[in-house]
Amino acid sequence: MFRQSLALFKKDIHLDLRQRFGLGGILLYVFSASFIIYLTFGEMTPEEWIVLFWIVILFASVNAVLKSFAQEAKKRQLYYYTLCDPYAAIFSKMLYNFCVLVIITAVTWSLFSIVSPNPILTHQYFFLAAGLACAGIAANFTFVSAIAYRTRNQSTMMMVLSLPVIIPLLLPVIKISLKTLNDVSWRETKGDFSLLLSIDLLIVALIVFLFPYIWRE
Amino acid sequence: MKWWKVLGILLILYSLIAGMLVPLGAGIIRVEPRRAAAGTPLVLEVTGYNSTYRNGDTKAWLKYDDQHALSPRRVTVQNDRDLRLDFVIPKQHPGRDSVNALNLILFNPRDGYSVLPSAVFTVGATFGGDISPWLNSVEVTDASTRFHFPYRNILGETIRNTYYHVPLWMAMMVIFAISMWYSVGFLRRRDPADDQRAEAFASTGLLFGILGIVTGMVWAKNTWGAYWSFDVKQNMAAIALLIYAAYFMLRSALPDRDTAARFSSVYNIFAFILLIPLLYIIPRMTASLHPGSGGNPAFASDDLDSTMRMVFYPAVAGWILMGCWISQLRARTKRLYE
Repeated sequence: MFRQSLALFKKDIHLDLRQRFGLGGILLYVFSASFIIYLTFGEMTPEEWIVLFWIVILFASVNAVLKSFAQEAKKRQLYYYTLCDPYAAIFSKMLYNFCVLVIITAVTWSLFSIVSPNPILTHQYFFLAAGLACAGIAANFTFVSAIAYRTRNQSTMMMVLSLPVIIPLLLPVIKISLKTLNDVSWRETKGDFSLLLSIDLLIVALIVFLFPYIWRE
Repeated sequence: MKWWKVLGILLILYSLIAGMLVPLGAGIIRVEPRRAAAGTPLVLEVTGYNSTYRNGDTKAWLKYDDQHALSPRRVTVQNDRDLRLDFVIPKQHPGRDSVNALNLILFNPRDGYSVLPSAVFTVGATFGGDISPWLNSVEVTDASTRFHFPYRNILGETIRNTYYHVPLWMAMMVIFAISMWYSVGFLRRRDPADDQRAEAFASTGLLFGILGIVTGMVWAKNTWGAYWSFDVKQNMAAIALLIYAAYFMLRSALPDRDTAARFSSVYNIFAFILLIPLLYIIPRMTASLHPGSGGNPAFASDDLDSTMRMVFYPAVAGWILMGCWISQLRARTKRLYE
């Protein structure tokens, strides 16, 4: 299963490198979103900075993850189904989307820092929260896109299905991010981090339990 | 006709009738004046709610703290609702603050006791010296002879909404849990009837959720001052309804019946489990106006007294049974159509 995941992961990278509009489109989206925010807001207050940062990431990641199942033809999906384990399929996608989200977060982070001065004081906690958020968002959205790709209007359904279920994850992330505007200690953020981590684990556990039922044709 | 359907109807009827007809206990709705200078006499006009002051021996205290309280020189009963209390506020107070808030406590054997916190503010008090006028003990017993619901300041008559808003929301969670249970059952056994039941229960749950949010909004208008104040509990409740709206969207957007059943079952389980941190963990970590948030549990012994429990628990059970019945009917009509 591990070897299968790795092979599928490599295949996803190859596919994306071959068709440049995939990742490139998302990065361009992030770029234009940051630019529009700069044009409308000018210099942002620290709270606006944090909230807009996560909103841009959220919408960019919906679009990035949406294609993970949708980009492949129906028949090829059937081919994978005969070849590999369901867990290999979902974990390779989750890993791949996690990498994409980390790239998106890094790019958005640097763009935002250029556009408006970076207000964050305790970077280590911010990056830890961002890492956990990327893992959770990647897992959650990958799973929802596996549900949504069978529907008639994929992109709308993806939004409708994923945005309500991502809120339990997003609220602690934004809470931690707002705390990192000040000089915080581990003790003050420990509770939020444990909530975030447990929601991440809950999502992964649910996916492990539920994905085989979607995979089966 | 099964027995539990009759029971559901009876319980709901009971909670509607008892919840609306049982009177509220005595309370204090108005006190004039709210401000008094230390060392001067104070004539306090008190307006009560559902009180029976003419019934005899009404006692009153202005309470400073657990050891110190002031008794009036004279209690004049004007009628059942109006009372005049003649106090003399001493110059010397037991504490060091020059401005103090005193709680008004009234007691008579028929009404029991009623409290208005921070009824009177005294200004210009001095510390030290003779505090003997303050040495009165507040003697109340909780032996009201009337059967009544407790009077709570701010809540007033709206306390009756406890029997509609809260049970509806609790019944909704139970019904959503049953819906999830049928979804799990469908994924295991692949019986289309299970999926129909899951959908029927989810739609009843959504109905109860909307009713719960509407009753909550009416209550919020009367106690918090606005229908919607973007309180964390209200927002989470709205998101919970969004999730189930998305569930029905998903059902209608999937091409064939088998895929629709399978995928929406999976989403139903996923969404219900993620609803639990959303509704029960996150609101507790943030400040909120709603009971049960910001660390304070909603069912402390203080919130729900024994007379309220006698209506509240039957109402919860009644709405759950009613929800099951509605869902069962919906599932059956759905099977007839298909």
